[in-house]
Amino acid sequence: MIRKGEGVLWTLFGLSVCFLAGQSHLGSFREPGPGFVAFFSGLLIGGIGLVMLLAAARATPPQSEPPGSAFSPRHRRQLFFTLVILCGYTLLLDKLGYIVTTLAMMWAFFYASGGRRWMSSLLIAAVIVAGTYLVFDVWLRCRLPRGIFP
Amino acid sequence: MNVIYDLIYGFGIALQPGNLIACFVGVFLGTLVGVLPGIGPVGAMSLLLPVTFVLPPVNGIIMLSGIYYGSMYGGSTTSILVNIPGEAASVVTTLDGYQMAKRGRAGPALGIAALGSFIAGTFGLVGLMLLAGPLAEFAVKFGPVEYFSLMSLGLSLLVYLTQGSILRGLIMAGLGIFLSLIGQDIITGKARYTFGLTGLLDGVGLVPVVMGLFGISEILLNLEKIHERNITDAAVKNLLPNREDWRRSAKPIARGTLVGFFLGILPGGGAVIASFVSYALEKKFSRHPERFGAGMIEGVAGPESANNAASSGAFVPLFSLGIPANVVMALLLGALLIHGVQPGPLILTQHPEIFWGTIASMYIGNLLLVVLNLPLIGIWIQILKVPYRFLFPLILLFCFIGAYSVGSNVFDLYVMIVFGVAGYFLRKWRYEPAPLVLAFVLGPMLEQNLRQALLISEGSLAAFLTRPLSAIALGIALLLLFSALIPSFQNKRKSMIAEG
Repeated sequence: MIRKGEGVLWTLFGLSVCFLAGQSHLGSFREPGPGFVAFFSGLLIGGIGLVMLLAAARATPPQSEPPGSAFSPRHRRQLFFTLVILCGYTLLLDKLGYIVTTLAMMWAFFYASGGRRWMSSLLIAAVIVAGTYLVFDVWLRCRLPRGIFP
Repeated sequence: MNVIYDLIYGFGIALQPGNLIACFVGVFLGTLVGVLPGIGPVGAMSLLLPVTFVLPPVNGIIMLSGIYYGSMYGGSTTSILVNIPGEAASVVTTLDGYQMAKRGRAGPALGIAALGSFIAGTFGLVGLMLLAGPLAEFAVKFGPVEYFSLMSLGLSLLVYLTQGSILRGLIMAGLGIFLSLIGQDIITGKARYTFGLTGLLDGVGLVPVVMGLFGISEILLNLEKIHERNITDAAVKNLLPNREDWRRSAKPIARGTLVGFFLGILPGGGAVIASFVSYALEKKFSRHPERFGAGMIEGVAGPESANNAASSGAFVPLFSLGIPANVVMALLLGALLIHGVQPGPLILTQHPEIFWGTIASMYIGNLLLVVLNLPLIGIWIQILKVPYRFLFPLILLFCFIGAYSVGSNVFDLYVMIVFGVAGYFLRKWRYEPAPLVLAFVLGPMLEQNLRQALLISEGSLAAFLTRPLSAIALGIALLLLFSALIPSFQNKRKSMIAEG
């Protein structure tokens, strides 16, 4: 079932892509410029968005919300919690370094999902940090951020 | 005869200690990600992609290929023992494999899956060897017009075979092409669509995009599900199938190998479709189709052979034309390009060590997989017992390490999170990420070939229609997409996808 909102979103997105492509010089068929292909991809997205919009307008609205779009408050909280941790980890990774931030992230996840036992969560997190640091930084030389450590 | 000399040369490369270790690590990790639900071969390959930067190209490609076909083997273990497919190509194995396990026949089910995979994988490689060379020689004559049309056909096929609405698939393809164009223009060097962000000057990275769309979004979706794993209590014994099992499985293995290999070559085809087609075929050939789903060994032998043969077949268009047939091959293409190797017709002459070394390593890898899958089954069962709440933080961490180590850049992590969240909502609203990723990888090549073709033809579109191969490819692509709008074809497509 296609929703009207989808059609509107993609039509607008496609138009924006066409506009951006136009700004970066379209060129011509004889001499295509940097925006040439992007313009056609925008046209494709916008055109299909329009088709979706028309199809949704013609279709009868569904009686109930389709499966897959359900979003319980518990799931919303869990999703929000995970995303906050991921964003926080990314923000602090360069400043505090791999060891500190990863330890904090792993601890938070294990503490939240493993029965709120902070000591065992910390221990598991420490083992994981040590193991991954040894494998990726020391052995595979992936250059993980040092942060507060020299 | 030349093929035999080349293969011997390939074995000389593959048996070098470094390449042998890469092959072992690849198939081991492949089996592991195949066993573990939640991280598929695409995620595992993107995770290890940065690691391969420090290795010689042949080493890296051997390892990444090993992950791909290794995951096909490992996926059957979870399907048979837990009724949860480790990856998409093993979904169909759950139907009869789990039923066999419940009846105390987990051993023969696992055994025939591993041995059938070995046979199919080996024959698939023979096909790859025999077909890739001549196709590459033929493809030397291709120009930008043919390449553009073939890539368009590949993309259209993938969109056509994608689950759900074809319109959504097309949107994903368009989005993938646009995203691939972000960064500096290949001809003028002018920055495009970067919004002043220096992190986007080099374009959006393949690894953060794939990690986000396949790794992070998968975890976010899995957080909503309750992971109950009913690992079969019956002890796994008698792994070697008996004479009767072999008698019943011989033809399904042969059919699965043939079907799988040719469906693997098709752009947009691949292991998932091959396994379903093989299952449907076995049901049609069987004298007792009603017994399928209740523990028929044919329902395990055929699909498991097909998905392995397909994984060999998928290498044909990549190596001979430089066109990836599916997302995994797109990732492998990305890896080759990062290493400065251009896959395509010239790979046989310019980098024979990569082509023949990889093929020979796949023979070795297939053998290693039988050794890994049969005697180590106990270890895989123990790994399956690790609760998901302990696994997902680890998978997340690996995604972060993978995305960060590409360029030691925190910007890539933001890109990964953005694509993770976008992927989560897109998948929730039934948008498949596969066309986006394939279009993202093909985008720069599509652009380059289209612009070159138009420059050469002085803006005439007739060039695309007057060259036979291009006209055929574009004709099929358009036919496929327009056929999806005709109601009777629409129903046929839906039933085909539902079956597969």
